[in-house]
Amino acid sequence: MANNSLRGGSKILPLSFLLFFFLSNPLFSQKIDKYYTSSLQDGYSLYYFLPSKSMKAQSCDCELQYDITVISSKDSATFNFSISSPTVLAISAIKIGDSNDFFEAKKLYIDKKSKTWKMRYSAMFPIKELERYFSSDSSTLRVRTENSNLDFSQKAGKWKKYSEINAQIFQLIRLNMD
Amino acid sequence: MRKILAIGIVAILLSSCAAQVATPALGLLYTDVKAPLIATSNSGSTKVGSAECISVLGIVATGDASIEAASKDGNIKRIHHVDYQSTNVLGIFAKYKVYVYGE
Repeated sequence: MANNSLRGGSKILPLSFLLFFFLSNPLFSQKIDKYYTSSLQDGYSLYYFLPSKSMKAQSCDCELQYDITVISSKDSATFNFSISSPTVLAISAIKIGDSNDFFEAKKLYIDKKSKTWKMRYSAMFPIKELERYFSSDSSTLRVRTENSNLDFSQKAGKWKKYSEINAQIFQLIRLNMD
Repeated sequence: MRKILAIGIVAILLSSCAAQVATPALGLLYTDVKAPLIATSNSGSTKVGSAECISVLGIVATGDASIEAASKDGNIKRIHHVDYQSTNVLGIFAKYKVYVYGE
């Protein structure tokens, strides 16, 4: 009897973590409202795509995270991104997915926490370009630095779910524009 | 040993040691609430910035969820309003996120 209750007690921890995983992982349930906020302004709506999960570069110990701000009355969106790296990178432009065009990246700030440099940049992308990116199979973001290009990407499975959610948010924005 | 571990975990979950963040409405199992923090007389928002801090089991807490950090994140000079979002899962993991809207 005592053993049974002990066995039951030992299941609490894995069950808790399982519950935690399901509750804290909105990706699982595809609830898009967990991935953006919207704000009604005078004559337009402001949509904010919450920061993405980290994307990793193969060629360096670097990570990239981005967020997107869309103003419904404009054709382009603000694409802010942060890169964490052990060295300072001078970034000049960024390219998304299979697109051929690089877009200029403007520096917002550079910080250092412990041994990691955090560089934050901002770029403007046409909304159509972002919609194309989130409907494509390639998650690759190419960042142009002074020495070389850095490619950041996500695992295919994660990208599939994440890109579908962002595509749905863009669809929602379009529907509210009409 | 297992029993002690189980008691310890339950004690952490039920005691004030559990991960907690400020929230207008608390759910024992799960909390995910958005609420207003401040609003200013500045007009219009075209930019958004966010910042967050987290707590794990009420033992480790880290991050910078200040309005300043969120403004810096979004390159915001004039703040229109600030919202926050608090998330808590079983008192194991808690997150406090600040959203700054402005220009």
